[in-house]
Amino acid sequence: MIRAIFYSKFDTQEGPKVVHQVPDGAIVPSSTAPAQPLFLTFSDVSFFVIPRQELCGNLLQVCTNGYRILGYPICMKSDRYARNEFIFNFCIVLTEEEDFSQYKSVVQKLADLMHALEEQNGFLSRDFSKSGEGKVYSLCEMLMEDLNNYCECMIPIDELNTLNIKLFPIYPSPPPVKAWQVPLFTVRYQAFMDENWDLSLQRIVPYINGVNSVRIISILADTDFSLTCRAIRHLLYYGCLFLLDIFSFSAIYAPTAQFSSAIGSDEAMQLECARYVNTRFAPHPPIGPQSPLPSQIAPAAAASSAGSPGGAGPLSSPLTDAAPSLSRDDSRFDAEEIWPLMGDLEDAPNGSRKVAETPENDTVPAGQGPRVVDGVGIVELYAGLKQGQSVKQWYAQHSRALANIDIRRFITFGVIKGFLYRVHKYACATGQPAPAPRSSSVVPVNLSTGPSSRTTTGNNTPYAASSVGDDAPISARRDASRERAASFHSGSRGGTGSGSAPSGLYGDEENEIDDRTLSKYLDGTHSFDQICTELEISERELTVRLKRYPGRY
Amino acid sequence: MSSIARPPDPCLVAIILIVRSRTGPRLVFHYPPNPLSEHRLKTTTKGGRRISRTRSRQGSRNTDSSSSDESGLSSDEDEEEREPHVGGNANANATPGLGRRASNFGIDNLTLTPDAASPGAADSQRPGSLGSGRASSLRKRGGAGSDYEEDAGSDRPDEGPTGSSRPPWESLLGLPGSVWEKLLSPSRSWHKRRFEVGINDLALIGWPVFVREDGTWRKQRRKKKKKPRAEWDGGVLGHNENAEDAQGEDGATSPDLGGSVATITELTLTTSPTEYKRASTASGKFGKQPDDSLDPEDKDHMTMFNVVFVMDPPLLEYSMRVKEIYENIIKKFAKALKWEQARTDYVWRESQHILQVRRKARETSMSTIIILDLAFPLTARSETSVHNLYSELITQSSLARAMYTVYSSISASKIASVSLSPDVSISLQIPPLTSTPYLAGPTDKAYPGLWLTTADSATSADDPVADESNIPHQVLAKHFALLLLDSEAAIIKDVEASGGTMAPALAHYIRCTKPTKSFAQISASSGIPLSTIQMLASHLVYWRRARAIPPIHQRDTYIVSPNCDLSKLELATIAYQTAFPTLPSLPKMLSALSGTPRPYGSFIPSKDHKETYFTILAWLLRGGWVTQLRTFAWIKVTPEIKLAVETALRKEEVDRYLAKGSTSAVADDSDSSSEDDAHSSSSSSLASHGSGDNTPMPGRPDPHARLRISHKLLDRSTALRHSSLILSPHRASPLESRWLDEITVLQRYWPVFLKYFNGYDALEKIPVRESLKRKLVWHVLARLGFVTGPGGPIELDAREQVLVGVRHW
Repeated sequence: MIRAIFYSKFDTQEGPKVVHQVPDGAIVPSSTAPAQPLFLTFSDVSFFVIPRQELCGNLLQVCTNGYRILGYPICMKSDRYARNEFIFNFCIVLTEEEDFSQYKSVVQKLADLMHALEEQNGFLSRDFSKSGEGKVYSLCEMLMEDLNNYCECMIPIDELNTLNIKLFPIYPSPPPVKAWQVPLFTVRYQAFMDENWDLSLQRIVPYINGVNSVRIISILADTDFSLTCRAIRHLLYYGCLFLLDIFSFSAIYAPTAQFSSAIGSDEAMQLECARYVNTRFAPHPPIGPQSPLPSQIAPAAAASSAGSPGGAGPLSSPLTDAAPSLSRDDSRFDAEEIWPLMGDLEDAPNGSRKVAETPENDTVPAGQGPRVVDGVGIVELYAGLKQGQSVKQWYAQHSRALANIDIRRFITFGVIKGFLYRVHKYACATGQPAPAPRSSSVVPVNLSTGPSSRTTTGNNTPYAASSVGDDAPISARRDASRERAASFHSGSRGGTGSGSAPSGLYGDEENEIDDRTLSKYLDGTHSFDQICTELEISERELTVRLKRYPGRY
Repeated sequence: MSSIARPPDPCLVAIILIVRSRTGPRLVFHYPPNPLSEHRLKTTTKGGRRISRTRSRQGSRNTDSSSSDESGLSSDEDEEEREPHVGGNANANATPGLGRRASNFGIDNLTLTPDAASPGAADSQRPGSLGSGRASSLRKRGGAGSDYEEDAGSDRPDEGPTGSSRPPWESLLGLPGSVWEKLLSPSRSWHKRRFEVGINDLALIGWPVFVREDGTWRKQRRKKKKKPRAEWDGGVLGHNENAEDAQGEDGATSPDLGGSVATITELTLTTSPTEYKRASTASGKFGKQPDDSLDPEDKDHMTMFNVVFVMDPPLLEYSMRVKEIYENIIKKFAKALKWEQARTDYVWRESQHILQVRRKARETSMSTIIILDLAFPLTARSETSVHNLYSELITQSSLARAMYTVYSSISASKIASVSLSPDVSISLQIPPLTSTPYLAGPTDKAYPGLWLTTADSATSADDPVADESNIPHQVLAKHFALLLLDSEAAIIKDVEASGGTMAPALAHYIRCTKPTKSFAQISASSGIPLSTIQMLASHLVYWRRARAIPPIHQRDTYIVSPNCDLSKLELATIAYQTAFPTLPSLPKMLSALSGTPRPYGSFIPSKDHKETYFTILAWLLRGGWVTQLRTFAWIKVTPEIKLAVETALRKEEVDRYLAKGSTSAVADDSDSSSEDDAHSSSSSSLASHGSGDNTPMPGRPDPHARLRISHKLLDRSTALRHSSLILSPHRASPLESRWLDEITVLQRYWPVFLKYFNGYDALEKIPVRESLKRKLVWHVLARLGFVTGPGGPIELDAREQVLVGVRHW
């Protein structure tokens, strides 16, 4: 908030001088102002308000007495001025701690405008009105009032000039967008898009759905890839988008340290989650990749979106839950219907109720518990995600609870809210020279991803089934990695990458990727998502391909 | 292995020393000689830093990447154009974008100085110079002004040598020294206050010191000589001289790092003994010089000095960066100077000396220019002269050298060890970030390699149960352990080389300490008092030699950190190979740790390997490759429990109605509030109850409170049907307490464990803090519904499964 605005000039008789000030008596004592302490001592800062010529034309600021003064001194030379020059400065006073970034441009713009006005008709130099009166004064007054109250102003000055200023918050610039990232709208773009938008932006926008990776978007929209990236980055800057990773059932997610403060303790967030993931509310079937995502998930500002549990059940289907739950009396909220129903018990068995692992899974003893996944149930489901366990495995253990939950949305929700992270996989070719090319290491890292949509559905069954000895040092990380590591060991026997592909399905494609290309990705800095996206193969193909990666590198 | 996580980016551009005497302010010295160009040089060679900064700055105007790149460049051009100095050529060649300007670049060097200096030449709307920020608007304005200036610059190359040329070091950032002198010598109201001025995107921060009315530099209190510490505001500086006497009391007891810095220098060791000697001889030498040549300034006295740090922080980080450097560097450095000034007239003496050397250099350079004429390119010539002058100043003046050291160390995020005189030396640093609980998202600024953890060694944060410790400064929690960031031998060597009174204690402690043992344990085993250990440890931590971690244990689980810096993998692999030649390679180790999390012990092949594997783990932790996976839990209240409590409450209510009439409402009211408190606090210390018992509410006769509870219950009737979590069991609400009472399981350990089930305290703390066996603890936790690792099949009672747990770092 602007505390004061003052206009100062170099007076040939008096030296640096404050001509107008808003509020009155803020900078220099004024007979008309009520007695009040000055904000600061003008003489302390006059060296800077009216600086030496060399400094004119620069944005200057100085802090004193708890205030920060921003100014942009201008020095004009002309023989119509006494001493042939006219130095003036319009300064904005803020408190010292206040973020001043957005006011920099205000000061600059004001200076530019005044410079122009002065040039046109001596707007300033001919202003002989008393302090606190006249055009220049009322300009300062309106400016301060409007900016403080409305963050913008439009002040007509004469028939030609208007002072238009708007305060723009400054955001950090987003990093470059990667091909394997998946953008997701946080707002309804339809609401504010118009035909004046950038053309590539307009083309891209319909394909942004939280499923398509940037690369896929650029293909689908038939736009240049780099333009696509830039357009997305633009949306990112304004907080219209999130970047996610490519969802796949073979991916691994695990909780972050925000878990406790987010979903763990925030009941509103649990409700929000339920509303978002409950397939009952989904416009499309469960894992429908095309489902446009409701905009309710506001960025970090969970507060705004989480607010309305009452009106939550707009879609509440008439056939609420048929499942016999605890006696329901009439005082029941419709909020009740938010919680996803559990699946039928028959669905559950699946043999996968691993006894040793996480026995708390089916939290409620069958039969008597409520048949919905309530807030705590959601927390437990999220807590069940962990390193070394793919979504698929997790799903197998919780299939009953997840029966009416859109898995992709469930995961996405956690990632967006920041309490889940994607565990990335990296391959690292070791064994420098020939003989012993060793394992590839698999290292999880956060970030996002995005290979082709092929991996989107749970078609990875083949290798999920494969398992190797549990005691292998590579442990259960993930079946894929285990395989790969194993294959490296075996691969060390010979550098023959051309051997018949173990999996006939993708054999041909793989052969096109030669070892040199592949080796570039095997230094541990490229995530599987990246490799897959850039080489345009599925993760499964990559895994198979890696097995045959020779030990040469 | 560089183990410290990336320290904060200091954004330091230059350091300027201004002094004022009766003859007016003088810009005495600045380092580096040609600030922003060196900055650029760094960028072109090193990449990242500057670029990202430019980008974030651009963000303010424009997100569009290409145009931001452009303006980023042009802002550099701007600087370049204005910079009268040397060293640009390399950059111009290295950066394609800058190449455009290379043609007239060499010429600009000398001529621009007078250009900026003589106001007549410039249509001085925008003399520009401090170019970093204005690029876009310069262009926006149709460039008339700036074009003009450019032309002027290139048109007048010949004027350079003959005209009023100043030696290149007389101006700074394109502005003549006199402008800086005026700008940076503020009025007395800034005495010992933060002085902050901004020019475009540059921030200039100082802590000016003025002479006292009586002509002295510090209050005359008691004996001048003996009590240096009396003058220390907060005793922030480390002086060897003080170390002798102060160390005993201050050093040993003060946990405040700022305060115990008496011994700082002993650890930091950048000044080798030889350098030290040179320093003192140098100062001895120039001690005489000023006397020889009688300056007009000789009779003069300094009235103010101001060491100004020039920074170019990104807009969005402005206040944070400024604060960091101001608190940690500027103030402390200026205080040291003030102290020396008071003691030996140091600043003034050195300033005069520097000015004298500069005067001489100017004379010689003028003559060289005339003699050499245009035989050599001007750039080369001025480069040499600047170079010569600076190396001369830095060898001859300890103050110039101090500024040089501060600049080069701090801008490289290192510790600056500065000796002003043989007696006085200080170490300065901006304490680096050592850990973060946040994993950066795709759009956040990431610090790969930073230790990712919620384990905070500061007592207060780590121990929400004990609120009383609200000390801002680091008393290391006694249940933490010390992880040395370098080899024990190397650190001990450094410590011993530095001498100092603290050295033996430090060395002894370093030999005793182990990352597997907490401070308390080490204290018990070594006999060093815990407080001493905490002090020594925090000293090592503060000076980047160690890190406080939860003790390493084989039953704890470690995962590959999602924040590890994979770009360093290759180098690290080699280093790892050297350190552990016979063991599986680093990638293999990481791969192993990437599996389903399990206790570290399960990776240790045999008992004989135990020690080695702990060393490996320490190595991995040091480099931020792995982090501990910690467990957090809440108590879940099932609908059954709620229902039971509800039923009980209703019954009580009915009973109460029947028995009504005997209690007076007034008394109840007053009771109820206090009762609430008692209630919750008693639940927080269930331990005091001894065993939890099945009687729901022992000795709690408060009908009204209960009535309220039941009303609340009715309101929240839906909540009854769902489970909920108790978020802070040691501050449970009355209703929650009822639930807890209803739950009560595992009578023996429940009260002890209860307070950890808040989702924020890692369960791994329980064994350490409560001195229980880990095995036992995990067994209990498993019964409570939390199974981790190889717990083995335990018979589980569904009624006891009351925990909801989650694991993260």
